[in-house]
Amino acid sequence: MSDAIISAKQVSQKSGNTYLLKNINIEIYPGQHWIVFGNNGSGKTTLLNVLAGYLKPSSGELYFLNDLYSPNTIYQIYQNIGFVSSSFFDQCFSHETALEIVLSGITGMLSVPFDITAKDVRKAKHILKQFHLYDKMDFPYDLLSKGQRQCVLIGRALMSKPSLLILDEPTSGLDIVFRSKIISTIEALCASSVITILFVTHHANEISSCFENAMLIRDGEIFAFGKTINIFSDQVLSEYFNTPVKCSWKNDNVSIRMYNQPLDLSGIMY
Amino acid sequence: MLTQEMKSRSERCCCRYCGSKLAIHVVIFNQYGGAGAELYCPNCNKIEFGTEPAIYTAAKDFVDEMDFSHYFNLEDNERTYQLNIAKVCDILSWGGKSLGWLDKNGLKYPTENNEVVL
Repeated sequence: MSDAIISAKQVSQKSGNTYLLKNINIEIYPGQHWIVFGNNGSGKTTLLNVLAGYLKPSSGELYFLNDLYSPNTIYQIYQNIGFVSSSFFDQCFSHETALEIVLSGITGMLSVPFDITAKDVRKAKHILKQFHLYDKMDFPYDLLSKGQRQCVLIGRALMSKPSLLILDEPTSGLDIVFRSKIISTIEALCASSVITILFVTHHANEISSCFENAMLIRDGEIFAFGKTINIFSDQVLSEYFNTPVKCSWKNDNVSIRMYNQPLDLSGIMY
Repeated sequence: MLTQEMKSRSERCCCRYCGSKLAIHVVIFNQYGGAGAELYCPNCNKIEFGTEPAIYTAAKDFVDEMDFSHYFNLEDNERTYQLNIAKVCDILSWGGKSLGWLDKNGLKYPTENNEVVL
């Protein structure tokens, strides 16, 4: 019996002959806050979809609070995991209203349960008010801006008071105002509650010391994991990117600088 | 999970927005067996839990006769009209559940259209 909230044992995900994830072994403990960092195509989103239970791994075992992911446990797992992923939910929602989508978070399914209570509705409206979406609660999802949709998904994830919050690039495509709001909200969640958080990003400037743990994903494998301050260092990142990297911390945020050869556009541009 | 309740609602209920008959839409969003079946309105192209047809009829007539608009700041078009009907459906359903004449199996008492009102 493990104390981990989620544990993955030799989890792999294949697509044809290609490994999207390979031999993933991780344990996430209650109250921990993790950054999952990696380049485009490194396997971050696949890993999160697997951990959130929306993608069944090709091999390996997944446990949530010592319960094996299975048809008998998956719906209960959905209620305990708040999953935010626009790449996933944009395929599920279109004309559903913001309020309906937030309320669907109660069960972790996609629809509003019949037996919602006044308390549920008040909570959902309160969440939408915090995201300045109270006047948009009856707007269809596809008429909301990208930032508003992200806020709705975050609100949905919080409805069931999840033990684990999985955020897949929640600031993707957002303008500076919304990005700042969402990062502040997540940092406040890290600071004020015991919720466990997995936060995927490929933007270094979103990494702050409120995420005390970090893992680097490369080519579907865990390249490194440990304390954020140790992972985001010159040596580790230079090895990860295969190029000299200068990493510095300022005001609890990390800054990464690297030199890259520009693209060869001769013959195309001039 | 496809339940008996869901099947029953798909046969009995209609969309709160357009009044169309509901369908069962299998949203396969997990691979652990037991695809996510949801009630769906094929006309509105949305996941929709639906309402009793009598409630929809009453709601539509209320919006038409009383020129009701909860969304006065939205453009006056078909979409807004449907939003208003759905809002009244929600109000009537809420009242029905609170007053005990509506549960997940439908209306508990027979209804008939009141021609004087409608």
